[in-house]
Parts: sequence; structure tokens; C-alpha cells
Amino acid sequence: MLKLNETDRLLEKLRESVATLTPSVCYSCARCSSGCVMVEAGCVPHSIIQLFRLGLLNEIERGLWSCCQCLKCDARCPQEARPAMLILALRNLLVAHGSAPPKGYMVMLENVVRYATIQQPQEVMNKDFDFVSRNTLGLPELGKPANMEAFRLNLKKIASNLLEVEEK
Amino acid sequence: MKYTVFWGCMIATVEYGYEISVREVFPRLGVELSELGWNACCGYPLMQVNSKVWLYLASRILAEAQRFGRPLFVPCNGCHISLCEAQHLLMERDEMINWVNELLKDEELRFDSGNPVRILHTIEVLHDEIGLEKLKKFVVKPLGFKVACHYGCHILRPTDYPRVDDAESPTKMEAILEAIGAKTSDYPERLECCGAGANVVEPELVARLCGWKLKAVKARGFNAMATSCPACQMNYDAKQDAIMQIMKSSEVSLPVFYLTQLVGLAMGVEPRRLGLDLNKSPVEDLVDL
Repeated sequence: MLKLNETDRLLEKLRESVATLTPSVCYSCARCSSGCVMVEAGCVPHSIIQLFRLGLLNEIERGLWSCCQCLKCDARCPQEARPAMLILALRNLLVAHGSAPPKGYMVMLENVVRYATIQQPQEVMNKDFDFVSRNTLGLPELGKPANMEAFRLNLKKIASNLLEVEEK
Repeated sequence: MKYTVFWGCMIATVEYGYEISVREVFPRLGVELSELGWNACCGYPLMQVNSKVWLYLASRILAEAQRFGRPLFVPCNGCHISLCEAQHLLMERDEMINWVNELLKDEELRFDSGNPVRILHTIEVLHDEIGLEKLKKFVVKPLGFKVACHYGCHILRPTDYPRVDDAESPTKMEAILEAIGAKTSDYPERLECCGAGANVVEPELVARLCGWKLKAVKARGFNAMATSCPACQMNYDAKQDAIMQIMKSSEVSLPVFYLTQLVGLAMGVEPRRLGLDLNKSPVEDLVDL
């Protein structure tokens, strides 16, 4: 939950980051929400737009991470108000401001730093109940970026708010 | 047709049926695939927590692909939108190219705005590049059964740069299925999302969403569902048992195939060579494994 005195500053930043979008043109036809698969989880796109216009960021926080970013609302909005982009901008802003994202995102990010992919190749079970791997399936090794050290350093530089930077 | 291929995380680490079927089917159709040389995250899932992480990860793949001078074949819907959107952004904003290239220097990579990458998805390769008339010539075992198309959201949306097909009334996947002798038709739930993007936060709701669509597809008389995205396939196929348990219903049990597996079957390829023994859904109802 955001503290009240933080809300104004964040709201200002959010307005800046969605300046090229036009959430203010929304007239609440709710076409976005009528097609949204995540309304049940408390993510209601046209409400999110209105709450943003009213400056009630604390209210938006509820259900914010449930949006699955299918982008249907963005595509169907007759006013091009872009609810999904507003949600994306707000998620980024809250994380940059120190809010912890849902754990799954951190696991993926840490794995990318470690292995370059969101997870390592898994063993899977086939219909004969045998566990098979890329190797047993005859799939080639795909390899990691040539300069993993530079890759990791770049990620740590960009996501310094999320990753601990190792001091040398 | 010569392409560089970028597999991304999901196909290369768990959804092997897609990779196996592409590697089996595409060369038979005259497509030559060369590897990128390494595999790394396209950045798309991380866009939600830090858009700059996404732009960096996507740009380095575009930069590497530029070295090969061939179109980049991207079978995953998520990677496809990620790379298309990153390139769209880079081409529109010079300051973004400068920021990205500053980071890429240490990796001896550089994105060149004068040499944009042509990015192709599976549906585009089959429908636009190979073409339906040529595809039909390879069909030796027309499928015969009725297949529901599930495109997956991210090859159709957003609408501000070119996507694989029309956002509201796509037709290419149906056309491919008809070319390989399957029956198909529109259905009200056709463009509904599998919810994969919310798996991190709402796994149970996502399972119910998928169950709801599978149930509808079955009730409308389809024998199977076809996907072209590893995230969608994982939700509808690999998680089908879990969906059944959550919904306490066996009415969600339905064979779910990758589009490339169905194309391979119609071409007479042996099912296990298409990775069909890796599908979790009851594909054996329609195919002798």
C-alpha cells in the first residue's frame, strides 16, 4: 500500500510515462472490461482508467498484477485509451519505486541473469512414463550468449533496483 | 526459404513438441533453418517489472539476427510480439537505439536501424511464405477431424504495428487447417485468451479459464484444438489434468496439438517424430502413437 504523501509524486510520474497515450479520452463504455478475462480477479480495465483519472492510485493497486496483458482491451477500445499500457506503466513505476513484484517475476529475472533463459531445460515425461530431455530427444544444445559476463553486468546495471549488484 | 531461428525460453526448455515438429516438418517443405548460435530470453515476461530489461534483451536478439542477413523465424507468440515491438520502438526513436547500442557494445553487438529484421511466425511461414497451394501438394493423409483454432493473443495484437493476422477476424490458421484436410469453423470463444500472462499471480483462475474454453470447444463438436504458441499449448495441453481436478470435470478432456504437429501428420510423418508422445492431452484418441 502506498503512503498518501507518495501518491502525488507517483501520480505525476505515471502521467508523464503515459503522456503519449490518451487515458483521459475514455468515456467508460466498458467495452474493455466486458471482454476482459481477469475481471474476476479484480482487474477491471475501465475502472483502472477512471481511478487513474481521479488520482486514486491505491485503489488501482488492487488487481493490478492480475492483468494477463492479452491486450484485448487495447485493441478494442474505440477511443484508443490503452488500459493495458496504463497497467504496464503503473507496474513498472511501482517496481521502480520499491514495491516488490510478484515472486514469479523475480524467479524469472534471476534465472535470466544466471542461465540467460527464464529456466533451465527441464526433463519431461512422455506417454510411456519415461523422463526425456533435450539430449535424449536428439535436440541440439542451444548454448548461451558468448559473453555471459557482459550480459549479466548489463542486466544488473539496468535492473539495479531489483538485483543486488555484486561489489568487487 | 532460408531463415535464422530463435526458439526462446519455453520451447527450448520444456515445450519440446513444438521444436521437434518444426525441425521435422519445415525442411520437408523446403525451409532451411539455421541456428542463432545461442538462446536467451526475449525479455517479454520481464517487461512487466522493468521495460528497459525487456528492450535490452529483445534488442540483442535483433542485433544478432541482423548478422545473418536472413529473415528471423520466431515460433513463439510471446517472443514474436517482443521482437516486433522492440524493433517498432527502436525504428521510431533514435534515442532508444543509442541507449541499446551503448549496452550492446560490451557484447560486440549493434542494432542497425538501416537493416531491420524481417520477423516471421509459424503461421506466416506456412500461410504466406510456403503458401497453401504448395502445402496441399505435401498432404498424403488429410486429417478429416474437426479442429478448433486457438491463435493466441500476441500474434494478433496490438494493432499499432503489423501483426500476423487481423486482430478481430483472423483466417490464416483456419486456411492452413483446411489445406491439410481438417474441418474447422468459427466459434464464439475463438479469440479468448488462455490467461498465461497471469499464471504467475492467478494460477487457479487461469486453469478455470482454460477449462471453460476447452469445455466450450468440445461442446461445439470439435475433436481437437490447434495452437501455435508454447504458452497457450502448455496451458491447454500440459495442464489439462490439473484443470480437470480444479473444475472437477472430465468434460475438459480434449486433444490439443501444435499446428506444426497437425501439418506433419497430414504429410504422413510418424507421430513420435512430431513429438506427439510428449503431448499430455489425449492425442492418442485421434492418432496411433
